Amino acid sequence: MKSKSLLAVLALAAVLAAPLAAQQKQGGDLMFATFSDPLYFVPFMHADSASSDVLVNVFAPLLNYDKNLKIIPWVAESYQISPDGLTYTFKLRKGVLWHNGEEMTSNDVKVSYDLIRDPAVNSPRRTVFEAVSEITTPDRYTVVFKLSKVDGVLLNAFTTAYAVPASEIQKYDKTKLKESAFARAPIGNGPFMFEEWLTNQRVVLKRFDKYFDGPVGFDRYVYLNKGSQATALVATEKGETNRVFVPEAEVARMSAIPSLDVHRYVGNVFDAIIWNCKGEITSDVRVRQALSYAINKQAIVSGIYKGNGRPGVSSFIPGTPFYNAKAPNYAYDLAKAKQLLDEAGWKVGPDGIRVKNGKRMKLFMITNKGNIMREKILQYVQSAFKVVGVEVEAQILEWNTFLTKYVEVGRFDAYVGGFSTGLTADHQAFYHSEATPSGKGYLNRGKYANAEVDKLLEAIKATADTAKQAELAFKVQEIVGREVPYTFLINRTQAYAYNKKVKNVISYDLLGWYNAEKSYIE
Amino acid sequence: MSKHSASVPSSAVAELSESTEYSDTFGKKVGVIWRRFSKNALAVAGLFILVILYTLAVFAPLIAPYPEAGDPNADIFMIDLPPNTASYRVILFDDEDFKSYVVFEPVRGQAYYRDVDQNRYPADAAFLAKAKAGGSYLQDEQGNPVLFTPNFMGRDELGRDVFSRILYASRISLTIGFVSVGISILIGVVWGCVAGYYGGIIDNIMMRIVDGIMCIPTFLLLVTVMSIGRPSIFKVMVVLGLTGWTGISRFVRAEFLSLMKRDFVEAAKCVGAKDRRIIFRHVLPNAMGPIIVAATMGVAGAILSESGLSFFGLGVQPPAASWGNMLTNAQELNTMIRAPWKAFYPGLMIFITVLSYNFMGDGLRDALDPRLKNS
Amino acid sequence: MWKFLIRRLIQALPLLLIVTIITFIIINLAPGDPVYMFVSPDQMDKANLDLVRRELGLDKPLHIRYLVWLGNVLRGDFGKSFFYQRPVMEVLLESLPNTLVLALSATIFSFAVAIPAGIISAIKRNTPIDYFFSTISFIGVSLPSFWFGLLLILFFSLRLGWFPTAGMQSLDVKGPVILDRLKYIVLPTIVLGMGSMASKMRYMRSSMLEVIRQDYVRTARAKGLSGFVVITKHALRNALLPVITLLGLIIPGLVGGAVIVESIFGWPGIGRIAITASFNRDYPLMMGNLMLTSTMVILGSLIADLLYAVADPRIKY
Repeated sequence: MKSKSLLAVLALAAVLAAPLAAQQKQGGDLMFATFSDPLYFVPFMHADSASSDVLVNVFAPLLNYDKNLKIIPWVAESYQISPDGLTYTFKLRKGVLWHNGEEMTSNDVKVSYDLIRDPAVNSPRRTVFEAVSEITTPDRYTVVFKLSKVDGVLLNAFTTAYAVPASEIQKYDKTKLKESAFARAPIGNGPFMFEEWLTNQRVVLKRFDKYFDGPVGFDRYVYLNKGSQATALVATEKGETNRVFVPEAEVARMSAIPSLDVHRYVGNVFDAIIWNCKGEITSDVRVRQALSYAINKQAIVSGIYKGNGRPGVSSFIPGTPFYNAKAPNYAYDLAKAKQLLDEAGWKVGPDGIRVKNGKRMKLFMITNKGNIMREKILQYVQSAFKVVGVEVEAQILEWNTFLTKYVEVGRFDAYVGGFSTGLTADHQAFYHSEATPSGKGYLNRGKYANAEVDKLLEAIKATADTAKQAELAFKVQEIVGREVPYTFLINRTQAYAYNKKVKNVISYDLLGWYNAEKSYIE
Repeated sequence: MSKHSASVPSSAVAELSESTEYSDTFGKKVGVIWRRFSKNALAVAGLFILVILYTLAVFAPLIAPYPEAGDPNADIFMIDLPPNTASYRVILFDDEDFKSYVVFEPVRGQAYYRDVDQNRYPADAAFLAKAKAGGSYLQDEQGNPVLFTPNFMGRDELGRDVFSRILYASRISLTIGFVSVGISILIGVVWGCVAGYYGGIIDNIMMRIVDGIMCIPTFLLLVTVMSIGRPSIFKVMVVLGLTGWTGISRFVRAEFLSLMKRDFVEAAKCVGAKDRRIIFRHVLPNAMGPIIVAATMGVAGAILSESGLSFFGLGVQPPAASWGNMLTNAQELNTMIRAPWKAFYPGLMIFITVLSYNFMGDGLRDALDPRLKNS
Repeated sequence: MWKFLIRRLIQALPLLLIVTIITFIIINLAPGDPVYMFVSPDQMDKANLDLVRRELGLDKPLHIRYLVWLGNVLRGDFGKSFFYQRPVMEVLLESLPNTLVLALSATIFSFAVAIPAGIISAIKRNTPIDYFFSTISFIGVSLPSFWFGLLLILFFSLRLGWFPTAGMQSLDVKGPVILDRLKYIVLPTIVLGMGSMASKMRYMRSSMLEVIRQDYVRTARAKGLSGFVVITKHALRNALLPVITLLGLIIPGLVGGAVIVESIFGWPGIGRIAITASFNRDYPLMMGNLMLTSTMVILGSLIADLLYAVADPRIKY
């Protein structure tokens, strides 16, 4: 029953933080217990979370979020967007140093972002910067991005797309950055500098004393690869490590351990059922609605997720201005579910399974092996649908097979998936009719198509006005709420446990640990 | 009692005369073996337990108190409930915290409730009032709170009855053990016999093939085979059997290499016995030891490796259960510490099965041992 | 003897060739596509997928790709891992020593326990001590290693604090390096050893039983030799055949790693690398790993054959 104290902990931490900020206490090693190894430390080439967990401490972005999710200047001292929305001008701080001692200049930014945009580099961030047509550097501290069209969410990209020192990165063949020496030993401008990486053992970062927003608290920031989640948790419980990600099932137990503080915050992650909108049975919107009514989301949240989350309503994240809490929701209602199925022509057959035109109502539902929560959801949904007379053939598949042989080729009636979304209003990836595997690629694997939604989504991206974006996003949620390409199950809460010796830890909803460089160990 | 000491040739004759006696009618032979077998109390106990296990598996739907897939609307409120013989009433009430369900647990006249973290509190008047005001009972058609039958092995991560799942799971697990080990033993023994008996170039070729098969990664082979058509657990069993025989063939062959040079085999060859007869009458019974061990260990291995396969999405698919799969699902740390029954009972079943197979195998080996005829 | 050795080593080459061909076909037939591991979801349009496929050399027909791979291997180049973007051998050899250390220590541990226990079990057949060892060994095979491993960690590491939870070495080693390493290797050794110990014990027991009944052992006993001498001098050698076979079967495992034990104990071994490679359809890494384990399978089989002849002089090739 720890969750009630969540806000209280944060509030308390914030109060404590104020006086401490004046005089930064230093010392101690943060030992983060992990269980998967990073891949390569080139900031715009990685796509895995283990790498980004490290990079976020080695590099500092041009812009950052404040605790209210407002974008603020960071390594850039200020930024300006021209009234037509086609020119972004960043003024860099003077005296920001790379870990090799050189000063960060506008050229570093230009070189880095040009690499991201270069098709030969094939950065996973390339499409994010599609609107950028040219980058210029009028002086040593000024970078200008020229856009070919307005992009309403481009600004957010500068909070995560890090620049790298041009003098270093240009040593390597740009098509082989992942295998460069930089990828094993990055040079950044963040609060910690890279020291050592032993494969499947540890990554060690050292305090960077010339960090522009210094001084930094910890002596070292160490990622200890404990091999499995269970071991990582035990190591933290024992005190060998002092920070660990806590999965939903463990939150209650870890919260009860006296030496630990568990921080919980709203994550930008949700789980959903993705319907095949072109499927033989699931193309009927009434079927999708009916089956949404047949799922007890509250039970999934309380039972499977042990209360770590909220029943899902939308792909937009609660806490952002784009979240429409009033979007059509499907509260658990078996009578409505049965009625809708009857209306759709699926009548209960002799063995309790519905039949239409001699065809049994049998759905093929899948999820990937490896996420134990989604495996449980699939099993729950399987038996829940049986109650309304729908048979489910369920399969839990290995990730690569799942992706390439089933999801990407549309071989499913529905699948249980988890997604993390950006904090922006751009949700084309989920709903746009071209964001399908056969189209431009992306996440609309159920091939949902609605021309009005497409237009709304494009309009969101074409304006930089947050209020306008929110208004359009609300409409999108109205429509997709009615047409149910997704049944949103849960918006998950995330949790990290810290040893109580780690002081001055502040976590914010959607942002997580906000001040790693200001925390320390007593 | 002397039969084939290394230096006395006459023992070979004794061996031969014995095996003529041994090769009487099939019925008589089985009678002899059974008589010896039945004298071994442990072996009989092993057989008895196996018969019970297989019977339970066959009649699982009749015995299991709950369906395999459980009842979603009730079970979801009983996730990780510990073993208990008391009945439960389930009360659901929502509060802002989403800690929304409690289990009402009358124990010896005193009512208790548990929260989602399994902490138990006495159900005092204040609680009852709160439950009535803010909550809703899980009701049957008449509006009465639902009363649950006991679940003495506890409930699993989706609130399903562990005992029922174990019964259903035994159908798959016992079959996997039997089928895949059966196939492996059959191929492995014949392959090893032939290679070891003929030796030379035949042995060399056959054993190089074994080396080759051992090199090929089984998991990948399984993934590939499964991708042809719909995955099914029977395909898994067969592939496991078809790839799992290499070790056994090596054991059998090693025994043969050694036994072939013994006098009794030379003697049998001298009197013109046929190859097949020498292999199966004279040599194989002497090589039974490792085969029985391999079979017993193989049963455990197969049952557990099915759970390993599920990492590749190749194991049983929901809602079906297998012992291995129940163990894997109980891998969360939380389970280890707070709900150990989810893993303990499937583990216990595997243990009992392996133990029974082993005692039975031990007894069978003794019963088949030509040297022990009169002892 | 030398002739036999050389003949076998020559035979190994065509065998390896055939194995690589078969495995190459299997891993390419397996469902899944490494390309999807390289492309972020927003760029999964066909043009980009094809581009990446071409870059990885996956656009060519299977037999060409095999020949290219084989040609490179013959020149000592095992290619670059798709997933890690590093040379295959660099990735494998980095973890190989760790795997060897753990595997050897587990093998020694399991033999050291299993052989005496198996012998005692056989001699004292159907006595409480036999039942004790039997029960232990069956618990050993029924207990999945992730469970056993976690139990040990919870008890010896968390509760008693005797050993670290997981890893291979401390961040800042205090005192002698060897002591630090020892602290880390104890628990994984027990768990990894336990699994194979059970079967070794059973094989040892079974073949001991077989041998004890042989007449020459009875004769030796009748001559008045003490039980211990009989066992060690006469019986043991002949009872070793299955154990040698086991040894041959274990040798490939020395470099194969053990995914579950490595994961539970955070051991930086080759098993974790290999499983990641399969999950990601990292073909070059999978083939590199295959070469490594295949070589050991062939070696294991060869060593076993040589040892048979040592244990039982009647066996000749």
